[in-house]
Amino acid sequence: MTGPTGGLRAGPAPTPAQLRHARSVRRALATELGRVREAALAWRNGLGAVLAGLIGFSLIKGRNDVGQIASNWAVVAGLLLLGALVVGAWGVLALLRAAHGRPSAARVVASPGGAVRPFSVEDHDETLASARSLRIGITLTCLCTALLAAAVGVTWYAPPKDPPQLLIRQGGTTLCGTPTSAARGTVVLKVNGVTSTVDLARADSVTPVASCPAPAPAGP
Amino acid sequence: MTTPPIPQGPVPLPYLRVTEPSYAQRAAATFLREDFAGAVVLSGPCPRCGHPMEFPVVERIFRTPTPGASAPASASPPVVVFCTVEDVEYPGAPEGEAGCGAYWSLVLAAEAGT
Ligand SMILES: [Zn+2]
Repeated sequence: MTGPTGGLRAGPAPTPAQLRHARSVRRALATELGRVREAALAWRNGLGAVLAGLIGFSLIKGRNDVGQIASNWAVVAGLLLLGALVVGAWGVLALLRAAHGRPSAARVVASPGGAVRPFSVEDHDETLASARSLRIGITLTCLCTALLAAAVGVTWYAPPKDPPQLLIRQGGTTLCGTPTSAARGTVVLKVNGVTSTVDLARADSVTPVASCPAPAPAGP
Repeated sequence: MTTPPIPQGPVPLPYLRVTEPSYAQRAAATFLREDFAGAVVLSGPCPRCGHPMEFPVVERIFRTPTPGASAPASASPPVVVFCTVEDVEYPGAPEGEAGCGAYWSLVLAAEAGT
């Protein structure tokens, strides 16, 4: 009791419920590619809009802010942003792939020794591949959103960059601290929390520095 | 058990949702089974109306209506098959339904023999 290729045996008579189920599966199979495309299109439109808005926001908003935070945090923010862009682009590609399919022609000529895959099988494979792409796309765009949020969060909450310091040499003494105000040839320096007024006319050199050198050994 | 001759002619059979043990036996003998990745395609003449038909059996479909849809090719539960002839109008067929109404079931053996 085997068919031309074997592997088939007569089964028992199906019940009406089994038949109904088989018919509904067949209907779902006939429409599954359209449904997965529809779902992917909706996801693409929704996530695409969210992503475009977020990326635009973080590119425009983030640039000014990054310059004001400590440099190693700026690197972190930059890396997060780069990661978000890469992941986002990948996610969008996956969503597009799911919504519009791969632009490739179906194989019609049988490979040697193999049968031609019927279009119904091609479509079914395409549906499963699209559903997979859709899942990947959704995951990646969500990850992209999280990375963007982290990058923006870093620009907001990272410690600010140290203010510029002024190194003033006066005879044999050196003062270094944050200038708080300057007026009429004097400058007020804040050195280790103590403010002192320096007469610039008597200064030998005034050098702006990013950070003060290690505190000189105690003693004048 | 006698298997009635496959009726064929200019007047198609009336639509009838019906099954007979002979349908499964004849389909098991005449249907061609082709295994593809993720799908098995059964094709052959419908044991009731005799028109050629094709029936894909898939392991999973996108958003299945009920869990555990079609049987995978390696499982033993019988696959419900029904006539899916599309280019014939069967008198009395419900709107939008293809085929002559015949249904039966086939057991896909774990591996296709040669
Ligand atoms: Zn039929």
